[in-house]
Amino acid sequence: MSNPTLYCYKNCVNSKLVQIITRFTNTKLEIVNLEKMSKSNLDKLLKRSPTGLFPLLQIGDFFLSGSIAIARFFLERDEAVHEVLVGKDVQRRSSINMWIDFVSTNLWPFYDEIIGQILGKTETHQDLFSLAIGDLMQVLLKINNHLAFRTFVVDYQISFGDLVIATSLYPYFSLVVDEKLRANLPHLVRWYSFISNLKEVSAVIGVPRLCKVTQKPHHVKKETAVHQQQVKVENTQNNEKHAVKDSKKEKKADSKQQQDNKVEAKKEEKPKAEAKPPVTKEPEVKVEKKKNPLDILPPTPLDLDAFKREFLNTTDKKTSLNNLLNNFDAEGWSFWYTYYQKSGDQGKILFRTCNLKSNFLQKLDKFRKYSFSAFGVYGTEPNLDVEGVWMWRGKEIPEEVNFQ
Amino acid sequence: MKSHDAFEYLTVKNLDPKNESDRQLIEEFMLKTYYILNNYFSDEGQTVSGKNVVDVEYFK
Repeated sequence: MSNPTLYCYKNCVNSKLVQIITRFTNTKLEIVNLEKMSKSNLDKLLKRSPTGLFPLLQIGDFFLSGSIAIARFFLERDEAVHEVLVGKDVQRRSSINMWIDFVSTNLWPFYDEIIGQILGKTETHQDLFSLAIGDLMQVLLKINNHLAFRTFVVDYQISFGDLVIATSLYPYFSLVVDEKLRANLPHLVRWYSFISNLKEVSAVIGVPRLCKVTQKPHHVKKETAVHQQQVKVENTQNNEKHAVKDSKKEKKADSKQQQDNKVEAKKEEKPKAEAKPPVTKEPEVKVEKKKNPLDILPPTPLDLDAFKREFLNTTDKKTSLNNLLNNFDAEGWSFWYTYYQKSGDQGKILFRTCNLKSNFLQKLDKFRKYSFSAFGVYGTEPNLDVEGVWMWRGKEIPEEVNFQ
Repeated sequence: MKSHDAFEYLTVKNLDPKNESDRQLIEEFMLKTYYILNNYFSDEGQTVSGKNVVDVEYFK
């Protein structure tokens, strides 16, 4: 059997878990960075991935995708390590699985919303970013409370569950959970420091780095940088103008002793000096984006973010919705029923229909700040429908929804 | 309820929250979001317009 090869993106957090497990099992693992692969090779590889996802493990003709599955694969090949990190006891195994399920359903979904925005991989939504950090903290508090009187997540020794949670938390502790937030999570921080300092873990993720200040979304950082650049350009322009004025004064004093033709030559040079690079750069910095027509609609008393926050967090959603409908600003907003028109085999197989729905919503990502909806898959196989109800800004159908 | 056929993939109909049947539709879609197997509180899964709720998400 050939050596195992792991195909993953360089900074993929999930692949770090696999690498940590192979450190425990002393398995030689070849890692191939997908970013350095040609598109044609990447496409070929993607077809070999059973789920169409990375990280992907290859051993000869055997392919396995998904970090948890790959990590389990290596664990189960090594009986001694498996005994320590998982064990045979059913309760222990089930508890480990419970925590893995918990982080995969409650922690991983924040990755795109928070880390994706910080790294500039997803669209920036400052309000959703703040909301997501609030929700993330709720999840972290649950783990923190669980660890209040425990050294490890399950039982009294390290388990696979500890490693899954610690690697999942790594990007959040590095970029999001600053000192102020960590003050609410003393048990989690203590546990995280212990796990991440294990030699098998630190050999993969490096020296644990706890962030000092919560990083901002990439777009916001970029704007700040552009603003600073603008200020710098303006300052340099001002400085240059002052310098030119000073030199003018000096030149005037000297000009009495100079010949007339020399003075004329200097006058010709001055406009050239004033029109040098900083001035020509200015239009590049001040590139204005085309405004969305929904941004120039008359003001509305309905605060969409406040409604989303209240509706999504309350247990009494009916009252929250009734409040919205009873005080609805019909001039600034409108409600719509939408139905996805199926074609061919669409709507016959459940998972494909769910993917269809997700892909549809993904296309509308930029529309989030103008809308709210409950959109999903309804019916039974093979008669599934993709439909929902939307509330969006304005009374017309915005261009975002038009896919023609 | 006004129907717009100008879209290739999407049928879009305007709903009036003051209209009783439209309001009912809004409430059904917005409030019934539990997947049939995840509805532990009832033997029956939730339905919207007679169809089983399978996989719904809030686009927030």
